[in-house]
Amino acid sequence: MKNARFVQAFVAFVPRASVKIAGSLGLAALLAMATAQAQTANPPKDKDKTKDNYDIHQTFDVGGHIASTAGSNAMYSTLVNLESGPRILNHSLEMHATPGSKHMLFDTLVEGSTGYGGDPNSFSMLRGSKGKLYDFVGSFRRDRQYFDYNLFGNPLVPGGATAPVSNGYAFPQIEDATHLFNTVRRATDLNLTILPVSTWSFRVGYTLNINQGPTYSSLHQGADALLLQRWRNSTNTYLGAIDWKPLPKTRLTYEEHITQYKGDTNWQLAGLNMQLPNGTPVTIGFDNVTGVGAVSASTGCTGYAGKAAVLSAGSAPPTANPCVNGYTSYSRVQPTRTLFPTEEFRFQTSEIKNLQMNGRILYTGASMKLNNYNEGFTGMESRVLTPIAVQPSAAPAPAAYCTKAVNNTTHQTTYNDCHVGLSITGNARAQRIDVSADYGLVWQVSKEFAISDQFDFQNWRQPAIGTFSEVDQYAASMIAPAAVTTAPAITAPVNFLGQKTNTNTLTGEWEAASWIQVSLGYRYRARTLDIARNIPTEVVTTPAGLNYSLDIHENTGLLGLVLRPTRAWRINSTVETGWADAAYVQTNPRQTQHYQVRTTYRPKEWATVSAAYNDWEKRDNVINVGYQAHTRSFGGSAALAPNERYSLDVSYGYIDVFSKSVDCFGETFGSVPAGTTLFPVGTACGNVTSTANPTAATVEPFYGTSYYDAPTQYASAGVVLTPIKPLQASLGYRVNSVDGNTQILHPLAVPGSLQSKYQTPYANLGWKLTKSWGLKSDWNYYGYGENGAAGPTAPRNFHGNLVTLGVHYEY
Amino acid sequence: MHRDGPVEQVLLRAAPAKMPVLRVCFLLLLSAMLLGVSAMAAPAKGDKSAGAQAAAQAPAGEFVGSEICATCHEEVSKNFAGNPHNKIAEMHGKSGVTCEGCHGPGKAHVDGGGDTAKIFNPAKASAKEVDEKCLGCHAGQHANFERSAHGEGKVSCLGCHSVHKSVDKEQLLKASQPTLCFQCHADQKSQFSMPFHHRVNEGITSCSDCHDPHGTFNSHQLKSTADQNAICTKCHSETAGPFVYEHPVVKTEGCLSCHSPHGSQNPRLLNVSNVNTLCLQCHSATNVGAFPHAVSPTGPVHNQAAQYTPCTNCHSQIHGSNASNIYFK
Repeated sequence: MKNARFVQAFVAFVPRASVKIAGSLGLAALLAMATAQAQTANPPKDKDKTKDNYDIHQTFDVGGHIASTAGSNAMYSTLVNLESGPRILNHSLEMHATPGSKHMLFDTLVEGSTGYGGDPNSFSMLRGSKGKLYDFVGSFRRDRQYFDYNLFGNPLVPGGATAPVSNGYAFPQIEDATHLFNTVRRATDLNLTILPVSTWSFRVGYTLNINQGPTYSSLHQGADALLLQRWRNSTNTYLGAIDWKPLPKTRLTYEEHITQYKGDTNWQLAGLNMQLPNGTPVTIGFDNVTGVGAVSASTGCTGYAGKAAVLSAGSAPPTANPCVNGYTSYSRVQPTRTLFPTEEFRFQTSEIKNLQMNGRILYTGASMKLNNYNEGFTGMESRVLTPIAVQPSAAPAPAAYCTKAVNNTTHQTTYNDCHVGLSITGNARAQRIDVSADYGLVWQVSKEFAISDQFDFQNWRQPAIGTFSEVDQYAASMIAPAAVTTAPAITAPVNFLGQKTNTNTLTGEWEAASWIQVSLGYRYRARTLDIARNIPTEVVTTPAGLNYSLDIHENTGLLGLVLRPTRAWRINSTVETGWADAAYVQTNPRQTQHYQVRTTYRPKEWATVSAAYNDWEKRDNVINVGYQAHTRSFGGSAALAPNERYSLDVSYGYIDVFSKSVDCFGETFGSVPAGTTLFPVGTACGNVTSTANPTAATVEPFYGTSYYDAPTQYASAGVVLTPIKPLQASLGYRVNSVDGNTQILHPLAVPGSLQSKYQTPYANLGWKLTKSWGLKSDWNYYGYGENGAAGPTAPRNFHGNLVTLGVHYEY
Repeated sequence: MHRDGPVEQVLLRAAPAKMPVLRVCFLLLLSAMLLGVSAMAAPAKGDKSAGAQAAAQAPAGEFVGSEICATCHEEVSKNFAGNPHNKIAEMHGKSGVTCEGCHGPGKAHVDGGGDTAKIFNPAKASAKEVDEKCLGCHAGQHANFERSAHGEGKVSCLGCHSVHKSVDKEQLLKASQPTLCFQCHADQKSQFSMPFHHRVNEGITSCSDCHDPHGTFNSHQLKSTADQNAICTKCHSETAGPFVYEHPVVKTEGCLSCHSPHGSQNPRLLNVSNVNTLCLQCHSATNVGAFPHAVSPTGPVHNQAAQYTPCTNCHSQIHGSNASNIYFK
């Protein structure tokens, strides 16, 4: 159902060409070949490359894709998203002034473009310069991100599931990601340097970053509503800078950065798929197996109390109980504007013999403004936690339902009717004040010995305040007139978050011989976190309260070794081992060790062999926390190109991402997953307290282990062949395979992505017909497969073939 | 440009900024600048150009000019026309400092019949000598290089750049990104081949979008935004805030607390495959004594067996919110 909506909603965003295009492409290729053959008789002369005293070289690659896929189209679109259709594959232009010629606008102009015509990624670059007058670099990047991975954010409601009181209504299988995205990011970067090699030079820059498109989000207000989230965020960044080189080895720089953020994302219900008895369209949410099981009814819900959530499955659309959690309307707009002005002063000098130093100081005073927050909701929000088992005969008296309800905003607990309407208006302000200063020096004490030191200071603080006015309505049901409309309740949260960091890194380097260098260092970092929260409705549940300050002191030892046994062989290794006296959160380690070894061997100009080992260990061995994590990776590659006829590139990589810590969660006693331990009687995890005699249906707190391990292997091999000069071919294979596992909190949580293989073999062939004309063909295969059952959702496996045919022309 | 409103005044009382350290910092910078200024007085003020710096170190008579170099190194000279270094020649009216700006005065080399021992050859020089030569002109742009991992590791400028045999003609890179980076960082290649990854192999982002190979003041040679926020917020600007309700860990511990930016087996580049497990790693009241400040809320309030509902289905604005203290909206 949702797929169908998306096909309609996204048709403007995902152009899909028909297979007929393949024929067109073939025809185009044939025509191009014919043209090329005709050109052979009159090959372009070298002098044609020069025009108006510019050496000009231009290339065109046009053609298109023929894509065929099988399996999960959602997953293909998420990972690959290359579709059939004609494309401008590549274009490039280079213009260089001929020696001795003078030009008014530019001496050099370089342009390049790729991926236009429907590819998810397209890119353009423009570069130009004129002698010592200016340098210009500009780029445009467009990146479409389609995300429909149905493991993530999916409540996994099994298709056809019927809740205890749904009158036979079969809930549809949710096969799309709840938070489906189909956004496009457009990033433009422009930088101009005036007088780049002069004593005074000036830089101006502009960056535009727009991210927009239709997406889904969700809201929990009793039931979980699927929201259409019209995503649109943008930033405009302006840069102005002056560089002054008063002395040959000294540079002073002043930069002014101004970033303007616009957040215009807004939200509304994605659809109303049911009706109330009076015909009003309604949705009772997408996560509704348990939701509708818990029939809620207000005191005055005459006629519907204790009845099924879906009164009639046969009506069109189905009729929902007006007393269950649901939405008849919802919208939210919160246009946000943030201005980030930053002044930066930098200096660098190496005027003093054997001493190089540089530093900077920055100040940012950012200001966020949300002038008009507007949110409206009508529906039913009972917020009554009623176990499925208590339905319907064992249900408590209807009066008990909404009198127990706690509105998170108002803490209203006295109305007998349920929350059926909400209107919030308001505004908010926040600031980000950042003062940073960094200073570094390198002192070459002697030919063999050097000392470097770096000091970094950062102090950012973010005060914020909001003013919101909320009006609530309470009624017996979604079709009953409001019994109570509250007076506007004003909340004015005042919050603060800040962090001050001082870091100093001192390193000594000793070049013992031309082939060996040893370095030893020490880094000290002191952090102070300040948090203050003044939120009228927030309940203080932590011993430290809501306002606190935390100091963390970190000490790290640094060891480095550089070996150069021969000129062709280099080995670099570093060891960092650190200890902190406190941690902010459980996954913020107190002990770290980071080992890195990299080696590169280049016995010949055409042969490079390299290997790297990288192990980052993190620990926080506090009792009942036991956080352990590591990212251990190893990789090796060899690139051989002994002659122009062939080259070979092979690589292998292994990476193991692992983490575990003690966690706790509330769960029905009868559904305890393996590896969990019941809390001692009377102790609590969250809002669940362990009881003396738990039954299968009671929710109890458990200790678990948040175990995650994803050992991944990667291998690739590629060969490029040029058997005869006009012909170039390449062939390769890449595979990424993971065989891991993780904590299972619930049987419906599918660990699919940790048992999968992603293969992408490829081949391409290029045929240079003439000096100007050539043909290109390219084949890519994408195969994604998961081992084992996918779970109560659509399988994600897919494979796709993508053939790209193109004609190349250059002059 | 900076508008400090009443919000600032109210909250500075809640957590006043500690100015003494700031003053110390200013003093340090001031001292450094004084050192620099005192040093500036020493050298004579002459031509500030890069090529002239090299030239100034040798008598004018030791130079032969690039035209002489071209008589033997014809191919190299011919290909040099489009080289960015050629701008130096343009600047000096083609007075011939181009080759000798890097290789040093060539008279002895020429007089010696091409004796390679009598001219500076970067290919045979040590990393320190090469870096010194390049930074003689480029230290202003790459002021952090010598303290960077690449600088301390003696990778040398020629580890990545080739003045005469570059693939990337503007940056003079030996190979284009990311191939160049993977030549040493072979362990990172597998991450960018995972199902979910930043599109570096596809060419839409590059290593240097987030890292500066010439070094920064940050760890891992990471760049940052001008307001010293994580570099991630340059593109993912909706997460930059500031928000009325910050998810503090996002700002204090960074994006890597939850995400693996290079690549992941998990959607949204998450560190673990199950959203709830990720959240529970911090939001579990297993040891309140050790974390009296950070475990709020102190645990999940929902029955994990009732329905597999990811935390983010409700806490959808998890990076921060202006209207909901529990990141609902």
